[in-house]
Amino acid sequence: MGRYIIKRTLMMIPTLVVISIVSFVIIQLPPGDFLTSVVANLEDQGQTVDSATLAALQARYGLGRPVHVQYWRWVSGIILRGDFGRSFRYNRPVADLIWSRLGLTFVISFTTLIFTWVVALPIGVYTAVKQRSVGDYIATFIGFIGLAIPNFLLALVLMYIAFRYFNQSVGGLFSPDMIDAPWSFAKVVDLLNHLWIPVVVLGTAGTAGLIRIMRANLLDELKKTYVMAARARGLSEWTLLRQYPVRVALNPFISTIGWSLPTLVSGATVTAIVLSLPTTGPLLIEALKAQDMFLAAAFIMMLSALTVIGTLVSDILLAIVDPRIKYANRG
Amino acid sequence: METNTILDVRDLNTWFYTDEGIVKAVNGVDFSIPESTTVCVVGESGCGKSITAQSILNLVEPPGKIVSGSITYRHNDGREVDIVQLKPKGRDIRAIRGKEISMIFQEPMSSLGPVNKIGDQLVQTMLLHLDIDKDEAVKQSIALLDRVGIPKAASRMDSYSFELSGGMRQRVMIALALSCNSRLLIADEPTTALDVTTQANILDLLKELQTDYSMSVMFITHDLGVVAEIGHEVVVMYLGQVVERASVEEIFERPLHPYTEALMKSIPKLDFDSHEKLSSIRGMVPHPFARPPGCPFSDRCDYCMPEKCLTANPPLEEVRPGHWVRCVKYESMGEV
Repeated sequence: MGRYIIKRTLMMIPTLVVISIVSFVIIQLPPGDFLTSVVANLEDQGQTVDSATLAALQARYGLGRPVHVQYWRWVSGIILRGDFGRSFRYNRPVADLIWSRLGLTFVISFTTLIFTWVVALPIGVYTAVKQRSVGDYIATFIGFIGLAIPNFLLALVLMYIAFRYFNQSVGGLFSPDMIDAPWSFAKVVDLLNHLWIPVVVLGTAGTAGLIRIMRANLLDELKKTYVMAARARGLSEWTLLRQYPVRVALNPFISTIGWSLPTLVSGATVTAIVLSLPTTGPLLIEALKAQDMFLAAAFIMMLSALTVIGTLVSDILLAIVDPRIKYANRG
Repeated sequence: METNTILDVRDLNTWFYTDEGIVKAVNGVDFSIPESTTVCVVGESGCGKSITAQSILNLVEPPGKIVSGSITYRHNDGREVDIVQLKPKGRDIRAIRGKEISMIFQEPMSSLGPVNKIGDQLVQTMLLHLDIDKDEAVKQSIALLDRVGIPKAASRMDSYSFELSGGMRQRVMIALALSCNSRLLIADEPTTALDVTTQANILDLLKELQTDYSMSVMFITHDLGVVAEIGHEVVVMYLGQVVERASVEEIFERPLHPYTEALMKSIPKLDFDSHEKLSSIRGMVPHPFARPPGCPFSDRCDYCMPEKCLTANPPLEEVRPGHWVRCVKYESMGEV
């Protein structure tokens, strides 16, 4: 097991190097750079930019140098000093901008993941065990609705309900008077009050999907001889389900960690804009639009790194839960 | 019920309610299993052998259902219980499963939990039915694995089924079946999926264990060679019914039912002339919805007498002491 984890962790390093190169190349691809849009903005306002100022700015941001030199300056800054460069637009270090947003994004992602699991696991097991029962049809019906409704629409509906019936301030993760308050118990309660809307919105489709996967997987497993063999040994239905077929059918739940971390960060952008959540999605969109290259690159880097880390975590968990996987990786 | 009988099946009907109609997989089966005896249940695929076995442990799954009949199990202390009357998921049937009656299956590849350790499954079963602690269960499990011929038994406790060969897995299944000293072992074609060498080893093991533990075995097979090797009594099934029942010696010396006779003829013999064609039973087991009227075997039978055989299904009658047959040929003949 230890060897397996070390091996998988070491394999992450080359992946991350390639990701950093690709991220940097991607943000260099659009024509022009941040200065082009600054100059255009200033000229729109009737100001002229003399070439000396332009040259000074270029030197300051290191924009005139060859791409590989710029890349090295950027990546060595991250590795050696944890310095992601400066955001041109906010004129602040990128690190200051992204950490708070990443933190909240992580809170939302994690809560959503737990929400998805807690709802999908029992319903998935129930619909498989009681296949073609009334409960199965109801769960399936609601599940398909959950899959079919676009997230932004669900967000709008829930915001309306929260505002109209619970008299809540809508949008964002905090009440207006709490946004700048220091962390306290009241602020956490306030966060939880606001958190349920994005969690439900972001979790619905995933939950519905996982219920379907769990149901299909478990139905396949329940037909296998080992289930009848365990029943023939006198195990109770509950023990039997828990220790045999459900353990096998659980694999897709764990695999979700790998792909849900990045989708929750990036895929939630539309929802985040509708709900005005202070998460990474909206900031990434702005950074891309303004060609705020270091900010955008930092986000793309982070998303990719999260994907890699998520995959690693789910692979390790899978190896723990399903001994067959470790076996296949041996040697 | 006679005192040396451990299990008595009477007029058992297990039907499947499919969308196309009712499949009478088990259609009025009668037989009994005496103590310390191996009863072989023989018949072609699809004649209801496995469903009979599953009915005995009340394991039949929807759309299947035990419709009528009784399965009486006689406990060691003489107490009798009708398994058909027990709730399929209830406590009473669970106390019998694995403890009094245990079962091994046709596919050793998929009969063990795929993500569960061998030892955990053994210990779990023992803790469920026996009044022992975990250390004792581990000790007994290792001894049992050793007994069924698994090399380095102690280190195999932590193995998973995918790390074992088919023969080894079937040995583990046998160990699981023996783990609580059950009095009746149902073996549903336990050697069909194994190669011939392994098959012979497993048969030897089962025969040895049957004698050592003096347990009863219900052995389901379609292989008459296996019957001759391990059986004491034989039940021949065709289309969900028992057509003949007798001791092994009787069946091989004096097969009475045309179906049994045909089965016997289809066994290759050592003095067999290689230019002759091995006889086979003509036709196929009819589709469950195309059951011939009267005797179910009539459409494949060489002796079929249409005016008699197509009108009514003859009853199972004792035509010699301990030899029962369901055929008009022997109707009211008394001694043959």
